[in-house]
Amino acid sequence: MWILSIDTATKVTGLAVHFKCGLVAESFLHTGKTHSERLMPMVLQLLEQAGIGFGDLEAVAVSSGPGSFTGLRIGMATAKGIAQVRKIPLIGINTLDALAQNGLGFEGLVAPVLDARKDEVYTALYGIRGREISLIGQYEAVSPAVLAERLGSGRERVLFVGDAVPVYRELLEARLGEGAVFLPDSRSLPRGAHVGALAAERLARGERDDIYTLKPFYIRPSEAEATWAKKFGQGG
Amino acid sequence: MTGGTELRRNLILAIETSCDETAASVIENGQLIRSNIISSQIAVHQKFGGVVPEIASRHHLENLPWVVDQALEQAKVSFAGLDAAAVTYGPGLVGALLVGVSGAKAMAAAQGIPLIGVNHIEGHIYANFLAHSDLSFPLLCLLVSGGHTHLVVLEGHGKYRVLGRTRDDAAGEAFDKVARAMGLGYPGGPKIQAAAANGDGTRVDLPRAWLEAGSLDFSFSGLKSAVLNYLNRAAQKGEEVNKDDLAAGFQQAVVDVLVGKTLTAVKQSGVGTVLLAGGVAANQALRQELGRACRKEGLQFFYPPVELCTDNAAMIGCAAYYKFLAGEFAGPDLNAVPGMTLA
Ligand SMILES: [Zn+2]
Repeated sequence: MWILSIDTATKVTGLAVHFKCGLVAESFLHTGKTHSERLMPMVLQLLEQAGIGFGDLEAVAVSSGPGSFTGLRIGMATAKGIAQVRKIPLIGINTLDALAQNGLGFEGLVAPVLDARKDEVYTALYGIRGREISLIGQYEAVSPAVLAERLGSGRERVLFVGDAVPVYRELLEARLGEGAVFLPDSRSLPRGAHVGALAAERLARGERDDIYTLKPFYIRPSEAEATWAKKFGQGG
Repeated sequence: MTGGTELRRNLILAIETSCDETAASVIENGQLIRSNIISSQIAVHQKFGGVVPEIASRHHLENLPWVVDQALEQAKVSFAGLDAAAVTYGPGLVGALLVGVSGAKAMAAAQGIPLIGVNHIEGHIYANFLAHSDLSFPLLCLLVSGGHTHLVVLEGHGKYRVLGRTRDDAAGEAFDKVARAMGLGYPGGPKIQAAAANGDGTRVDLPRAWLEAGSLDFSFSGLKSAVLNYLNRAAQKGEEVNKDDLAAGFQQAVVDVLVGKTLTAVKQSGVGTVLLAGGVAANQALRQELGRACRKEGLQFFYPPVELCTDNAAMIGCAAYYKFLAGEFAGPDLNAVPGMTLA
């Protein structure tokens, strides 16, 4: 009944341990160190602090993107390795879905925004009513100016969460004014606990992914593929 | 051993993802290859004319679980039967390395077995220990691959003294670039070798860079430029290039320098056993000519079979075994070191 959740989609390393859908332990690091150096030591530490071992895990969940390509792969390779050895289900949770959970308690629209570099953000729009969060539209990589324009023409207030908030806050405020709502860091950055909560729900519904087919949700093709497609057309 | 009727078998699962091959292997006692699985991405990268790091990383993540499963299945062992997990942590493409490193760390931790980090270059050298059980130190190794051209003395396990290295392109890199310029495709090594087999290496005169007298360093960029100039001149004059002869001439120039410098290294170091290693060690002309030269000088000469010259995890498992014996284990904070060197 224990679930270990891993989120390395952004510069935050987020981990959580859930037991029977309840949060037991969580860690959050937003320091300069690389995921590669700190992830496994953090996993070992958190399991120990939670008083369990790898053998107790019933599933391992991972924030599967969008996000930093390398970060996603470090998290997913780690999650896959654990799932493979322990022969337990692997559960991928969309990073934006998990981040939208930060908006629980707010009534209205929530837009998680992740820094996708190249002047774009990974985002999706969700509606929150009580404890219900529902995805409106689709996951995309879009320029923050386009996003602000689109959301600025609506009437509902929009809550922005994610690591792109500090980068584009002024731009969003300029277009949305009072309609743009922000939270402190503690509630704006990704949390392992939210990945775990969604994973527990999926697991309870009997859903699971597996180590052979689960891939990060990159949204973007690699640059080489994009260039190639531009030159020779799709499907090559 | 007290009361033991059978010596305990040491089984190491090794993982290699430094470039475009996703590989896993189980090695018994540092010598017996129980399995050696390689999932090659050559076809994926071919249309780009070379390895695309981001695409390689993506494929490693998708391939690794299956490759590890296959390695264990073929070796008839489960995770619980392993003594250690080993992984290449450099040099190589950082994103590609990180997939293997992250996966191996998780597997070792989840199984509660030690983790061993292996230098990829060291792995190439150790392919010789897989193939030959009777090597005794000191050894002189000519290591030639896509990323490296080294002359190294091995004084003991894990003890290296680098005598010479390339100052610009690695030998394998030169093969790839020349093959691309000649329109032979990727990967360059096998393509050049195939074309050269039909050509005459004496018809195209290409330079050999020996550098300063006695230097054991290499330089292949001048040779590469000479081939490119040759192609350009022919194109300007509208002349047809005999690609087979050009490939043979290029290959001969590379081999001449590699063999010549290796013999100089033997003289300078006094080491009488020569090893050949690395992806370019699969080149038949190099194997033959270095072998011939060593015989003539009364030197012992060893090289791994072709399948252990190109990137594989068996060589990583072999190198890891000697680290296991020495108690050299990696922590859970092991990181990829893309620019790692030897010694
Ligand atoms: Zn190699």
